Amino acid sequence: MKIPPLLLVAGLVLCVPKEGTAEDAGETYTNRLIHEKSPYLLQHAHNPVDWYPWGKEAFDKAKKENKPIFLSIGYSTCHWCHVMEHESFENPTIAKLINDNFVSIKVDREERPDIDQVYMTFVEATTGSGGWPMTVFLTPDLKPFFGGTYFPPRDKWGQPGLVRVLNKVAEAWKSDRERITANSDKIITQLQSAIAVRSGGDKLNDSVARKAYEQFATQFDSKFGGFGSAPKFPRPVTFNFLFDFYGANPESKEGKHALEMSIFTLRKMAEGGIHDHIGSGFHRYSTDKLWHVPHFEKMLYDQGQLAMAYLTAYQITRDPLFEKTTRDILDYVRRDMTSKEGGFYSAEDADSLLTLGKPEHAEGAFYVWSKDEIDQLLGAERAKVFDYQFGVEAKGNAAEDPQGEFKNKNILIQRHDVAETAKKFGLTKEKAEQLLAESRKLLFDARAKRPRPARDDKIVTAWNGLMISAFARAAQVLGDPSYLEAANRAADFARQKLYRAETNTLARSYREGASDVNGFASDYAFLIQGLLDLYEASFDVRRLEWAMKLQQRQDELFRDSKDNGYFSNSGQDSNVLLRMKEADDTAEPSPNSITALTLLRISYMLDQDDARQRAEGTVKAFAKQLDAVPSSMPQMLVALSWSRSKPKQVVIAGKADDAATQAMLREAHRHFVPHEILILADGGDGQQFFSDRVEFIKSVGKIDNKPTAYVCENFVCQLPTTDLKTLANLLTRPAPGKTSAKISR
Amino acid sequence: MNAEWISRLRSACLIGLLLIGLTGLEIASAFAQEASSARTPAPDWKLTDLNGKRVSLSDFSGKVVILDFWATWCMPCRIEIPHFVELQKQYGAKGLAVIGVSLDEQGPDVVKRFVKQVGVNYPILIGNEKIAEKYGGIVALPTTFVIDRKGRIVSQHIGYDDKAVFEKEIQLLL
Repeated sequence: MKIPPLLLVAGLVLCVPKEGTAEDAGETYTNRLIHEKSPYLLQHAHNPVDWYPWGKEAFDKAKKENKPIFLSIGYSTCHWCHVMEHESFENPTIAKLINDNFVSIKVDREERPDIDQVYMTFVEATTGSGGWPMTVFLTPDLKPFFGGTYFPPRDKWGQPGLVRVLNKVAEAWKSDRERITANSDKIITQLQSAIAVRSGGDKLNDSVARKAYEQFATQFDSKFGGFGSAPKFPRPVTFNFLFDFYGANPESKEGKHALEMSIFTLRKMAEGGIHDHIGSGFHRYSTDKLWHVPHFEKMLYDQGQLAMAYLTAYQITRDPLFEKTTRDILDYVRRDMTSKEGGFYSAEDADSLLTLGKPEHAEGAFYVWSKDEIDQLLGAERAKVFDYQFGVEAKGNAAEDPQGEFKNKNILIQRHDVAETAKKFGLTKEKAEQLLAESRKLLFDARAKRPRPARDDKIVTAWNGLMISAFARAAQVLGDPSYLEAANRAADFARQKLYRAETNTLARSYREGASDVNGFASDYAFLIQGLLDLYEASFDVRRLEWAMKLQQRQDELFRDSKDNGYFSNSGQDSNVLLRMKEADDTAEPSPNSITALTLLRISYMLDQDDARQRAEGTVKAFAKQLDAVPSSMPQMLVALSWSRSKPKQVVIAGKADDAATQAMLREAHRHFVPHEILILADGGDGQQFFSDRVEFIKSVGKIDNKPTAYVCENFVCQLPTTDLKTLANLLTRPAPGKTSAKISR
Repeated sequence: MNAEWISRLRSACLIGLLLIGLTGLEIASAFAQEASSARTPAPDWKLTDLNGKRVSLSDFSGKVVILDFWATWCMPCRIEIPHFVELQKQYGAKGLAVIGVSLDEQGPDVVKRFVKQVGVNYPILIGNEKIAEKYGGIVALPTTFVIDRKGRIVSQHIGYDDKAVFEKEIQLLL
């Protein structure tokens, strides 16, 4: 296809600047990725590799020319993806080798997690591990026959280089095509049956939560926090489980330990280099066990989930550090990761240019400091306090620096608390805090002059769902109306731009327009959860109505009505060769875990028995894995816990805009109540919505014209109360059992 | 009725609230009937029914009585009531009298609507603070007392219980 000259020029003008691109003198390339909207794909639009996006054009070419497909999958903040691009895909000689023998396809895994899942399953099954960049060779009908992750251009340390691999595969295709094709058919068939067997089970052991706790306790690093050895990922679903486990067993040794592990880890992370002390927000993971030297990319799904974990930690401990950390994360997202229309962007890259205009770039360049820089910017008085507080050293402070990237550079890590720092310099705590606040501002402003890391401004529906939950819950617990506004704007954006009302479907993402790609199970599940959380903050029943419509669609598109559980994709695209049910809760929760929980919440809010059954069916569908390795599904364990220990159902009679009602709603949200449903009986449309579905709500009303709380739990209803202290007591005391007792007086 | 008496009820002593930790409809509640010698008399009371008629506990002397404190906003209560209707139908002739005492704040009209909808076949009375205090303070609903033919309290149920639970109990008493 000839590229019209105007488009070519437009493409050159519009292309996202790539750090460190070495363009051959006089030769500029443009491939079909120039028409794509994903920033990751656009980054490769000027590779000499003749990239195609995933689609019919590439498949037809492969079939017509009988060439295998060279499939490369990654995402915009993936460091080794950049490295491989720089080393191999920008190299005209390697590109020629690829172009002569293969049809090349590039996929952004955040746009197409379904394609990513198929080939990751293959790579993991055949090599024992997976990751990105993912490099897979496919037959023209898309069946994988060889794959791996990152390949250096030439052989290195016994590992085959890309050039060797390309040559081998090209040779094999020429001489052994039939065998390769036959094998690929077998592989896909085997994978299909393997994933079918993986889910399943029926009876769930009573003690899976206890077993998960023990597995986490074994992995817990009691010195530095976190679970397992480096690299350490935040994996916030772990905290969700541990908090819930504590909530279910607050008096037991194990329950208290579960809480301690969470609090300690969250504190260590907040102090660590994984936390951006100048600009706020969290980097994606720590390369060392100390949470000190991070991999610097920032992902939206981490910000949302961590904000909620810190919020819960605050509810339980009332430690101002946790409230501050929640606010920091949310303020970072509002400031740097929110579109004009209120949707949230996906990620910020780890790498950035050292200086504008020059190609040199480095990991964390935006975030690290030399001591001289800091001292110069802050002046002596502030610098001595700041350097002490944040571990700034003359020769740099990265103790473990295997690639030698941080020589003479400091990654800020909180070494002391403010009281200690104040004492060291004979200052009052207030004075020390003031100096530190001034210092952070000065560094923030200075940093703003540096070239920023690239931002992936795709708006991903699932991750926006998580963020909506975070802002909504923060509005609930902290009573901050600006957070409610952020949640509402994002929900409105999702409704207007990510949702197609005519088909009641969601798009996966948005960038300069909604993607053609349909939403996956996680897009529905996470957005539905966000809408439930938003209802409990705003009490606008339209959010609930929309959530229920989306849930219906999710069930139609993804639910396995035979064996329960939800497939991640709809199965409608025949080019996606595997249809899987995600079980593992990893950096993101699985859609099954979230859906099980939201179905339970809906069932309790609206007294819907079929929702409850679907929820319980979803949990049971993963009984085998839950029994074997429960710590691989911590978020699902939260759903299980909700199904076993029914929530407190709180109905408050009052009007959302009335101050006294708001005070009562805040009281209902202030406390850590592991399982709670909150409904506002507003005497109007909101109450009508509920009483149409749950009769008893008709009878809920104010007493003495004061906002009144009706609290029921476990088939026992407390008498209604207008007193906030009484309400607090009802919410925080242990569950009343049903009792049938002899009268003894 | 006003909110004040509700909070006063709350501070009334809670008697016999053993946390058995039962969950879910599926598990039958464990209860024990007070040995005949240890039963205390159920305090008498006079309340008004939905038609304005005055009713006393002593009107039912000689019957086995299920005295059920409930409210229309209490979902577990609403689930129980059709079961009580069935028990009244089955065992009324043998001497069972179910009596419902509503603690609704919103007034008798709300109660009347529900009662008509469900087809309640036993007296529904409007409760007050006096009766609640007489029965040791009602802090949670449903609270149901089972009273023997001699007018003595046999057991107290707090929270929902299956129909079978009450049926077994009254069969021993009828």
